[in-house]
Amino acid sequence: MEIKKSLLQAMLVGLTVGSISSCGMFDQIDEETEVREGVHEDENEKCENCWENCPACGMG
Amino acid sequence: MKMKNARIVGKIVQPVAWDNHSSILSSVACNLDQDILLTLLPLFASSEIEGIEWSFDTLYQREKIPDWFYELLHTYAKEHRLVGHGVFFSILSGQWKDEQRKWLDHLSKMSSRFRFDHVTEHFGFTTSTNFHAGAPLSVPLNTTTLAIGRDRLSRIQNAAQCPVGLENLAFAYHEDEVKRQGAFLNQLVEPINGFIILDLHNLYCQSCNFGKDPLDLVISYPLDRVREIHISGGRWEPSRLSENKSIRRDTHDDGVPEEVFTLLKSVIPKCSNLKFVVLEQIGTALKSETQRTLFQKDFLKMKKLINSIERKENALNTFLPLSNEMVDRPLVNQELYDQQLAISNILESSKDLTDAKRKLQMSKLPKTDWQVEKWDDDMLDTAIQIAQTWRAQ
Repeated sequence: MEIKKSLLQAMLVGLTVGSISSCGMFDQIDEETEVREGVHEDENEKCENCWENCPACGMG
Repeated sequence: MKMKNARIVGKIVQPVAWDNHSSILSSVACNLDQDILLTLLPLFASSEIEGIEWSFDTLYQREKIPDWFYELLHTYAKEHRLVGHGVFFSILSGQWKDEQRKWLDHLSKMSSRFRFDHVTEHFGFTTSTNFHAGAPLSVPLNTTTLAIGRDRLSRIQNAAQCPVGLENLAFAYHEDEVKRQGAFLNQLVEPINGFIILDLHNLYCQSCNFGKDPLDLVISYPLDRVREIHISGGRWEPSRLSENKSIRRDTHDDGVPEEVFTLLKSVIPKCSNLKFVVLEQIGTALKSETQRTLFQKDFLKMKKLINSIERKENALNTFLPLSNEMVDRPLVNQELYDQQLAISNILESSKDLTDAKRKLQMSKLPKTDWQVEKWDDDMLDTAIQIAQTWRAQ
């Protein structure tokens, strides 16, 4: 399906400038704690705020 | 089942027209995620993407949404090519929560704004008491869950004012669930003339984990009710219990296995009412150029496969509501909810399989419809891993 060029350009600019993730629930957490995107620094440490396996997409 | 002061409150307003489609639309899961959208951009630019599926409830707490994303959604909605995919409603929970009412309000607003071609949710109940932090797990397939599921589906349909469907679950505790899920889904959606999303990777997971022929599982589903198919990839998780065994997980973080493409080719001709085939992958698995290229290749392969199958006639069922009457008070079942809470707590708190089995034995769950006696050890261990990933923080 054809998409207008102006929309494609707006998407490109928006995606290049901003940083967005699929789930808004993490936005509030971002302000409070550092987000480590799915990275476990220590295997025994719980990975808080991981985006990996987000139920929005990967139901597990 | 509590139905005090029941009265009819919901009525569906029949839409003016719906697309009686003849073609199958090659579509993608498209959420407001930088990595997903950067991966999709070349496919949008070359006009390859024919439909998009948006998880409208993942933006629950987001205040600002870029204008261009709304314009993208509207572009597809105008052509009857935008579908809404819910994640957090927990359709088979025994309790009714205020978050579910808010979810329906949100759906109603989104449906008015975008006119979804259809709206879907997942089979199962969500672990965790935190509405936005859980993964769906299965429930007993009995009259209680059937009644609750039908009640929730009628509310979704009333809020969305469009066809409503339910997706099959990848996870199962034991083989009987795998065999019976298709027929149960049919019973759930029948009263609202609903449809089914047949997730082929979910079926693939079940076939691998329970040693079943995937085509045998396919025919256990009411294929005339399939309006949407999902394909995706996942991962092999080594069993923590036995060497040389792995569990197939539906994690959406890798390319589509060849077996799933083969299944898609076999299944499409059997689904006379199919309209959307959706390729899904999570943004965190689309970071590198290699991953993005593989996704784009998978999409084009899927599209070529779909286009190679000739469609002889238009769809026979639009899945428009025949009528939808619902009672004002949502059905609740305290016993079911207590059982779900007990299971969630056990899964989230157990340190290992032995601990979980001990707690299950001490609970009120043995000798109930949950059939915990039949649960496969590896699948229970997998449920522990899933639930603990999403434990409320």
